[in-house]
Amino acid sequence: MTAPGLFDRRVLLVSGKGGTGKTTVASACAMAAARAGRRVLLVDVEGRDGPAGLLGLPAPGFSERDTPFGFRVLSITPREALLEYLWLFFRMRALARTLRSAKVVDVATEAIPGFRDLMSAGKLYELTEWRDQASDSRRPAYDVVVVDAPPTGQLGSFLRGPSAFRDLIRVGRPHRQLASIDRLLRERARLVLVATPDEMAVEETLDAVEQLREEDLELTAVVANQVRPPVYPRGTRAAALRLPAARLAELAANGASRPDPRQGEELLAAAALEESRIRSQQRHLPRLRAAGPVVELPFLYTATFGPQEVTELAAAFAA
Amino acid sequence: MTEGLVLDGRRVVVVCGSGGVGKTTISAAVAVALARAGKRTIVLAVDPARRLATTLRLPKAPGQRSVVQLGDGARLTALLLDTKRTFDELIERHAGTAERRDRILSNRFYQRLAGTLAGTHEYMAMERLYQLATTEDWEAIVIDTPPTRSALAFLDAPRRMTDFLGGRMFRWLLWPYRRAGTAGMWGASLGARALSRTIGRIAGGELLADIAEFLSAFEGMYEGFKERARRVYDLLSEEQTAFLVVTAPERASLQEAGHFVDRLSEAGMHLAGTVVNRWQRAPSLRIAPERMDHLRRGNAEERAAAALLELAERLRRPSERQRAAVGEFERDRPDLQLSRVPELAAEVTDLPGLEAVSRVLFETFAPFRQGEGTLS
Repeated sequence: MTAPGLFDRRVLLVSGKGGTGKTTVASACAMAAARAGRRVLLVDVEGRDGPAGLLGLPAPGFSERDTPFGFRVLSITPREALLEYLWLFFRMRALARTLRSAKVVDVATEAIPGFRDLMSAGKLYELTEWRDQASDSRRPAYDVVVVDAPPTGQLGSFLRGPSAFRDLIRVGRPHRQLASIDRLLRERARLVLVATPDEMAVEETLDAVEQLREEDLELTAVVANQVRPPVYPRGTRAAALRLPAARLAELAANGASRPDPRQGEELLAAAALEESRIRSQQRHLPRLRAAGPVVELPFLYTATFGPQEVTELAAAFAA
Repeated sequence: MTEGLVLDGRRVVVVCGSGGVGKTTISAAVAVALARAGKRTIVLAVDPARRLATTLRLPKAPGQRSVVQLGDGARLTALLLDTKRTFDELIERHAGTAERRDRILSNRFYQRLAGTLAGTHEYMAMERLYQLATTEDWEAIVIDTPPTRSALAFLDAPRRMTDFLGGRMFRWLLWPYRRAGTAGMWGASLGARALSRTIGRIAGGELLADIAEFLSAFEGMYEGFKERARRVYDLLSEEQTAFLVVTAPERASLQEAGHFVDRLSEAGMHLAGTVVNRWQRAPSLRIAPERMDHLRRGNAEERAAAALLELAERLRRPSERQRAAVGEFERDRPDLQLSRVPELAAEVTDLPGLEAVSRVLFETFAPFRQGEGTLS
């Protein structure tokens, strides 16, 4: 079940159709990588603190915070990333202050198309390869940065950003840095797409896989999320399909209370719906398998969804 | 409280919500209902992943239109947004001269902007919506908004992009690079010169030259763009435009929906309702634990009943989670019109499926309380 080498590169991008569980999968991957002994940072680039919310942690903001799960978390905000960049590479503290007060930074990060993505990608470079060279003990480089990346619809512009800006900025240090960032995303990153096994998510995933192929970007694995188990244990299905609603209600009540046939009908309808979900899932899983190696995660029938559930899912990524 | 959605007097319906909540399905279902009610209806899909195309089984090329026959003579037009072409057309419309048009369309910075970079999508979605509302005679327009990262980016997109294209800040920064200004460096303030030199040092003069070239070609068009952005915003604030916020019945999604609702009301937009989509109905049949053990060890019929009752137990847990989350949302916002759309089928990928969703949304195929003809 384990996909090959999910954690053997510096960056693991977790994307997918919105609502399919990107944040959950990214968090589970971070847990698994940390358990495998890697120095791991889980980052969020959407500014929504998704992973922290899911794991029940305070929002980290733009600083790397320890967690009880063996990895650290960070929320990349483009504004802070730009200021840090100006400071780290040009020692322009005074300028950064001026820019901040003049709101130039806000204009740049909010208004320049693609700039947000570029700042996030630049920060990923800083967290890994740049720190390798800088070897500053206060800023240790991470083995793996797991990214709760933009959804598939925006993944293309996220990945293309650095090269687009490199075409615009054709001289100097930023030009070279953009080339490094581009290389980090294209050659030194793993990419995982999360999909639920239904028509819409699978279509969008296959579209994304096609796009990645056109751009020579390698897909490491597809995570099929929320895979449901069969409704009926072996040998019970045929009898269940023959069972009348009234009889089902009677068997449940056993004379202790007045059986309500409508409750029986309700349950039979729910079982039929669950079976149709599973039939559709069985149609779509093979399509995902044709796109690349697939890691399956079970649908969790739980009354809560938080760190405990993420820990349970992390087992599927155990190296 | 839950009741059918009402769209009296609305002509434009903007469907928004975070990614993956079923915006596309809901917008298609709303469009189907409006078309069924006899309105000349178009639905605009702007998602680059072309989800509506899957739902309605449309051709996948951006910019294309197709007509879906709904039966009984009702028909629905669907259109996929073409971001780059819409931007090019906008430039053509405002350029005035062919020379200026070509200067912009061939500018490297513009090409990156219009084709590759994030952010133009929302802008062009709103531009296209405005075109449909003002130059074509649709009685109902439904727009499925792009999944934006910041709450309602598309609301601000036209204004923000216009600010960017012609904003004073940018002009001030680029002053020394603009060939047009005869005052040149001397006209710029000390601060602007310092900043500009710095940016030149970091990003290289060429970038600034490209942008300056673009902006100088853009000059004169700025007022037109600004005026248009204002009118797009006005269209969104008018009575005739209704917003529909779609959410999944989960905590994170509801939090975002709440944020959307707040932003919309702050901006003075009209919220027609909030749709809690894919609501899981849990079966209510229960059994005592001792009795369950007995059934598990029983005959074929009893074992089948046990399997079904176990399923009921399993399905109840996530459903409780959802009920708690939605309950909390409702308590926080008692005035909100909430429509719950239960998960009707494993997936909605065809017309009968969409019509079933329509029926739940509007209870019947009647999106207008006072009958037809109430649309402006």
